[in-house]
Amino acid sequence: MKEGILFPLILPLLMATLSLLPRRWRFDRELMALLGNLAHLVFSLLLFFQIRAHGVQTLQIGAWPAPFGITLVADLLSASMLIITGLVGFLITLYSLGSLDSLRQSFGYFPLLHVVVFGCSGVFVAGDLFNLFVWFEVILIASFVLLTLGGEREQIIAGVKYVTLNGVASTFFLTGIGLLYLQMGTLNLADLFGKLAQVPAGGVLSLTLLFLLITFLIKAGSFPFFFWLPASYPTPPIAVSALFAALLTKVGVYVLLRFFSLVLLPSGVVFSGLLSWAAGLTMVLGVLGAWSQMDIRRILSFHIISQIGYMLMGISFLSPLALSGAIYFMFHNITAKTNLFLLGGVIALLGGSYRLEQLGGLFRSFGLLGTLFLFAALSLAGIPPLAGFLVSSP
Amino acid sequence: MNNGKLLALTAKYFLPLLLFFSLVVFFRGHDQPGGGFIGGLIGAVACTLFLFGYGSDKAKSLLPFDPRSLIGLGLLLSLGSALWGSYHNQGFFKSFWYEVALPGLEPFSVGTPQFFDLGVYLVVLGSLMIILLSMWEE
Repeated sequence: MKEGILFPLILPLLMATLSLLPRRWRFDRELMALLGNLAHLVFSLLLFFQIRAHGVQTLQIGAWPAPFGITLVADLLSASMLIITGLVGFLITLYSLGSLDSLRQSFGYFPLLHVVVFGCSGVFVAGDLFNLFVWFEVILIASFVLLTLGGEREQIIAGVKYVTLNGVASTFFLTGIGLLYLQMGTLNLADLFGKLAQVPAGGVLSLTLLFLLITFLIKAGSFPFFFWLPASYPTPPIAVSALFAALLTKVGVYVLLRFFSLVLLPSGVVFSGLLSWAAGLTMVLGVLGAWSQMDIRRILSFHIISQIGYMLMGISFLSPLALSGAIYFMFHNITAKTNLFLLGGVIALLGGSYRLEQLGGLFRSFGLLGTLFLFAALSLAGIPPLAGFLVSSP
Repeated sequence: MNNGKLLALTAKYFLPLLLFFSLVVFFRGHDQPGGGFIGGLIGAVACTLFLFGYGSDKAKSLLPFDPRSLIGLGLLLSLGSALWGSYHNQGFFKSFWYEVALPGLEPFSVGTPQFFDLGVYLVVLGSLMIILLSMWEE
């Protein structure tokens, strides 16, 4: 089935659309969100098996031929990312049903959630750089509104920081895209891979690629651009924070993976030393930041940054083993971190606060909750039988 | 809020004029400058003038739906026009044009890109009205 690659894109958009229709025409939003995200997961799984059986799937939008039109591509990595996106979307919908106030829901929480999932799915199947830019914007707009939904003062401040920095990233991205198109005459990633190998590496090309690298580093939340992340993640309701923690920075890491293997390597301009340094500093500074915090959400937000550093380090080594390590770690991190954010929400609900010093003694009354949190946290720390161990022992 | 009589009168007579203009700009799109985005902006200007003249209650009753629903309808229309190509097995987003001959009019062609554009028109109008109405009410 040729259109298989479209389903993970159309489904969230359709869900967003249907939940915006007038009340008398639409089904129950919550039920629709649950079923829609479940369907997204199922279709992503189907796509995964289709790719395993028949190889990489592509689709030319509007039937325009490849380097000129918009191409959607999905390989096993894309499909795996789509699966985890569907899973996260489904679980967060389930969690938001119980945890979100009806005011936020009536202001379009679910449509926005669908649009974020839509944008992330788009990034994972985008076949050219400009298409990638558009998906980034889709994510940015939807996540900005999701972040400020509710209009609390703290949220607005966070939203302004978030949108400003990501706006800077968009500017870099667009400039880079323009410069690259000027030099190469194509933006299709597969086409770039072939053409970049034939041109000599020059100063302008390096600058262009640096622009793109900076964009993706901002998106991933790496040093020295990570400050938008701890400023914005802790302010919205915990379900939204969990969604952001699961998907937004990982979108940046995913694109960096693609960028390194498809663009930087063939061009001969490899910023791997630069990336290693950025990754190392990200690891250290993220942890130091987490250390100094007492609010669960802030600790987890800073900790995301540090873990992004690990993934970037894996990418910067440019060996197949390190790359597979980075990918494995990304999946592990998405599940474990989302888990911790959601459990953090439950803890705050039961303990009445996100601050550690006010939460003492919770384990005595809610032992199971503590155990669950412990599992996820130990997995992140890399204790043997849990998934994180595999990452820490190459 | 001081709803000047002059402003109200202007809004009343400019509304149909601006809406007509926005439709003209919308329909000349595709081959000439214009289209759904700019048409939607002009449509929103018309509604905004009405909002300034008569306040938010009357401006809301001017729109056939809640602005959020306008976005939903617009997206549905755009998605439908993109899927039309898939339905005909020609590929997602493949455009289709149909000749329409109505009695008393010159034959003209209607295509899926126009429906896509109409969707854009509705999304732009809806988004702007959400923003303006919430700013007005604050």
